Amino acid sequence: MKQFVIRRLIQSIPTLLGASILIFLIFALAPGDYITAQGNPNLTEERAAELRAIYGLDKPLPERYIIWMGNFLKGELGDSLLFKQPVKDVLKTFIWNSFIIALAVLVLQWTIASVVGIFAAIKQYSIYDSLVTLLVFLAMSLPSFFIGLLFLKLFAVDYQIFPLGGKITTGSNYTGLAYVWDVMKHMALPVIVLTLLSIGGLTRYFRTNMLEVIKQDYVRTARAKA
Amino acid sequence: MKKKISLVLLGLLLIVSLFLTACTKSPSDTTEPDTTDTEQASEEEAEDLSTQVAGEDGWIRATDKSKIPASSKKRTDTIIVGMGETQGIFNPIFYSTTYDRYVNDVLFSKLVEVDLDGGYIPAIAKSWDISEDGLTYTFHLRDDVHFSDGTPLTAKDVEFTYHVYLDPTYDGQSDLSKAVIKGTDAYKNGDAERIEGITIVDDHTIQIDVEESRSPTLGLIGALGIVPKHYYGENYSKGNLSHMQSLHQKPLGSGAYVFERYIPGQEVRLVANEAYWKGAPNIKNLIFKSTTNETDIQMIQTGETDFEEGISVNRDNVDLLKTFGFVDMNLLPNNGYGYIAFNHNLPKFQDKRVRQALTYGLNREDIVYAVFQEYADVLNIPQSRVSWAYPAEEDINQYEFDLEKANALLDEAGWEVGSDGYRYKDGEKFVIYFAATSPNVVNDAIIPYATESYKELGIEFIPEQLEFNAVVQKKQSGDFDMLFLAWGLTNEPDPTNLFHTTGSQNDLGYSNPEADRLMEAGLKELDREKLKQIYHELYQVLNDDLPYIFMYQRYNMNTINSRIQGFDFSPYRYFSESIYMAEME
Repeated sequence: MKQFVIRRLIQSIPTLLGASILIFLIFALAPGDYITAQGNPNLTEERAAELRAIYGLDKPLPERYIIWMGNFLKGELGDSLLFKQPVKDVLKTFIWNSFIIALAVLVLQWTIASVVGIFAAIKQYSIYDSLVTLLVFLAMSLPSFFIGLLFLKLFAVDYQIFPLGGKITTGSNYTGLAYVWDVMKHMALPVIVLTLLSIGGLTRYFRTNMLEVIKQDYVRTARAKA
Repeated sequence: MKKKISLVLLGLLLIVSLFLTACTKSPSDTTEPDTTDTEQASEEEAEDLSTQVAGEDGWIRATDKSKIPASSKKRTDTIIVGMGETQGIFNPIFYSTTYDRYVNDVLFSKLVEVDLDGGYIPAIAKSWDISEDGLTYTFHLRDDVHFSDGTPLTAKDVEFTYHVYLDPTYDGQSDLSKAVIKGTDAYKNGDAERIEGITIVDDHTIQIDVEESRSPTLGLIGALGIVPKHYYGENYSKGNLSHMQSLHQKPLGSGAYVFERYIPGQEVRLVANEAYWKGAPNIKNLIFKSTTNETDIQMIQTGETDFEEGISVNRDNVDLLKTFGFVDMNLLPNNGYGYIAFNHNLPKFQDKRVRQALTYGLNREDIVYAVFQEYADVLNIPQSRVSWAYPAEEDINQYEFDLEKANALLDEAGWEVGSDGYRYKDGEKFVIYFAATSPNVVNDAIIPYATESYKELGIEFIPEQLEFNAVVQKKQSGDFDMLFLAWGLTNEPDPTNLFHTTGSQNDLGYSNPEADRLMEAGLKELDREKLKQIYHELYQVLNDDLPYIFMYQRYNMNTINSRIQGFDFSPYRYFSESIYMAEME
């Protein structure tokens, strides 16, 4: 077993390397670089060359890849040109908001989908089942930008139950539970919309699987024996 | 199995990288207004006079102040400014986006400031002398300016600021080397420990010696935010800016407000600097809040923000904002213009008559109206209408849409209509490959109009829709006939980089000896009145010779909850520079 794991790990190295080269090339070979993307009409050629030298963009591609990979292996992700701070810090700052929302959506999505899907399967072809199916397809087919803006208009502008944006109330200094409550209020709308959009497929999946199981012989036998 | 895993892995990575590409796109339209830009014009509007767009002074005033949302009135000592997201670079030397600039404007003070009309007015420097030969600048500093930790600002801080700008490892947006301060090269590329041309005369006097007398020099060396040496300069030696760079989110300046807290992606909180040398600001707390184009109107509607900086200017949005009744809107011509570039390296575009024909043959008025309605004007020279350098309207050719004139000019240039209805010269068919950035609303309007009109002129117009960077790349490599892009302008009118034969951004191969001569003369002249003459002449030459088809100048809008008054802005002076004057009613 140990040997197997080790072999697998070793085998994955070329794959990872290949993937990293590919990704590196996708960015490096795309037309333009950070400096041209600034579109600065006052930039002189000398200054552009200077900046490229500072950023290391003047070096040949293979060398750039090796520098990047070498730093990466040492745990150095380099500095963000845009934020002018280490990439690590930038990631640390921004990754958590996405993570919290994704987690909340995941939990909600699975809980609701399993309950709704299983009930729909048990009461197959009932009014409840058709209603669920209809609602599920409705939610699935709404485009995200539309339903997002609609909810904003309804719940943030017209009725002002939830805030329009941000993660905390502007200018607030909440701590502890009050802070958690504040964040939850700000999370509510995005979480609801994302859950609505993604719940459809999962509900259908639960319903179908449940139906399959119900129709199997052993279930029927068990039922017959009551 | 292994293969499957690696495929899945690869797929995932590809998706992630696509996301990343998508993310990196956004900064291109947030680039700094006074150094840039490649604006990806948003949906907006054009008639001829600014008076039709808004009042004489550019204001559309609130009609019913009783409608001011209660939630905003509750904030009795706080103003919330909604704008795009900052990058958190709170340092006037290193920032690169407009939004960071706004924050830096209130945190730091400049040596000299740009006036409403684009000229210069005293700030930290209460006065300055320029020697007869234009090679020596002496700044006399105020003695009552303090950094927010109480340390007085002296000539040492100014000297330090220059050294950071010219440090060999400095990688920010600004390029102070254009001022050619004496000893710049020795400092940047040689062993010199300090810049020779910077002399501290006494605590409040600093003298700068430059190698060439040039008109933009005062702006280059004067309109800079001054940073404290005792704070940022700890352990500083040439080539080592790491200490300074670690302080981007702990700024210390001498501006109207003092930094309090930064919450990335959310807001920047500032408190009034009671010891501000222009007088303490009227509003105690200032918060810059990140808002998006999807919700900025609703933010001001519900009172969550008091000020919105970047609401797209189009008729729908303006009409909607008018219905709220309590907002003041200020419309200002954007500091920049859209243009269609010719590839001057191709023989067909070297004939001025062809370029003129293509300009007459394009219904620019309708295109601009289709995109911006009344909120943009057709432009005929590369200068903002509000600049002191803009010539009288009757001195420039307006190139109104005229297919007959266009046809006549093409005939004259020797392009004969062939049996298939297209024009030919020396056996070459007149075809234009148009590199169009996509998605872009202006290109969406240009393409159908140009295809149609140019066909009537006997020219085949073939658009190629490309990603923004691909178009920029084509422009640099010369692999195109025509393309649409936009430039930003500054208060300095000198366009040498763009139109001079040797201009660094002149990758179109444009060359006109007369224009070269005028630009060189403009760079050397320091007298405003004489400069005016030179630039009027230059604009007439460019207007006649048409290095580009000049397209439009659009409007920007500041939207303000009318409970706040007292702003004083112009296209050259941003709201952030007068926010210390704002008052609550």
